[in-house]
Amino acid sequence: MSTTPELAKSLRIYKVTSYVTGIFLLLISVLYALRLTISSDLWIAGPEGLVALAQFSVDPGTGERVGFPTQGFSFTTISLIVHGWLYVAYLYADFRLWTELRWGIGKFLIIAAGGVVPFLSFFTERYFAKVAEGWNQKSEAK
Amino acid sequence: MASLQNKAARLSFWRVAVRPKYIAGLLLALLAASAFAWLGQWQLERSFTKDQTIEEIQQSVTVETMLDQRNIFIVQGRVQDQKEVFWLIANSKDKTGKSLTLALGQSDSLLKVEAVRFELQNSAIAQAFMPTTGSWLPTEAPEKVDAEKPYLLKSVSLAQLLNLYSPDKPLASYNDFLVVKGFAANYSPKLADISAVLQPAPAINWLSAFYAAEWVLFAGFAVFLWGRTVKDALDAERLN
Repeated sequence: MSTTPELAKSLRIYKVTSYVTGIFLLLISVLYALRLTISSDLWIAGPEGLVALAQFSVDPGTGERVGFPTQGFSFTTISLIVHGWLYVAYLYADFRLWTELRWGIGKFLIIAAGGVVPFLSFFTERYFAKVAEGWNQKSEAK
Repeated sequence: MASLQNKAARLSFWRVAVRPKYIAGLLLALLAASAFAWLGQWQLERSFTKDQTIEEIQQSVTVETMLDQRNIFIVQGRVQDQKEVFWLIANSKDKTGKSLTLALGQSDSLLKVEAVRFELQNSAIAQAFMPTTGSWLPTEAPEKVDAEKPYLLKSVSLAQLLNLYSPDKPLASYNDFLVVKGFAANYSPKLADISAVLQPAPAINWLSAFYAAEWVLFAGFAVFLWGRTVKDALDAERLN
């Protein structure tokens, strides 16, 4: 098999995206918990300083969050957007590795779940990177 | 030659694809894709908000309230029918003692609103629970108040107001305030009802817009993934 350098590259991309997405997922879990428990977003460059909590209320008519400061921006919202695109990159890495190793669809879905279930990506990364590396060594030995 | 090979590859791709296992797989992929597309559509709808009148936002409700004559304030910088107006707002309590902030009426003349505020503070209106009808509006961000006119506020922030109503001890309060209908007409001809839109919502919800794009991407990807599994099966069979 001559797929080794390609596989090594896919594996590297997978590991990096897995850690970045996993850490970001923990960050947005904390920020989202703040939204749900104390109705606040982490606010950057608002009237109360560079970083502050901004409390909001929910518009009973439209269900939108309102009452945020007029200056600055919500770090919570930005983080959710960034995580969304990191997840797209993570899925791409998942797909590369999955194609490379001709895995079944189940493995693809488990790895994909790692990017949306907090902490799961750290376990899937450990497990599947090991499986992939084992496969790599075997093919090198051939 | 190459096109012949391509044709052969395409033919056998479909030969694998029509097997019951892959047809079922395709159905699942299409199901997932439609679910993702639906989610994308839902997020897209959330991406754009339009201005609404109070009537559109919510139907009216009626609460039994008792006016708190010691806590009547004026809010400046409101907009109604394209002109700046002042709102008269007041604290009240419901039968459980919970604080309910009422937006009573508006006028473009601060002097008129100040006069009605003074009348209300000093009138001998009955200290009784009265049915008050209106629509809910959400609280706003607090804004600093000028020291010369501490009763003249720049926004309706319940957090800020509760501190003014009860500086020493915390006060239970509704999460929204009530824009009262008919108070101005019944109480004082100097004021008119508040009827305009107050909260120009941000035009684009970027989080939803991006999520919509991602769902569309995922929908396409679900079908692409199915194609990949068929191709894999094909490759595996060719190798053997």
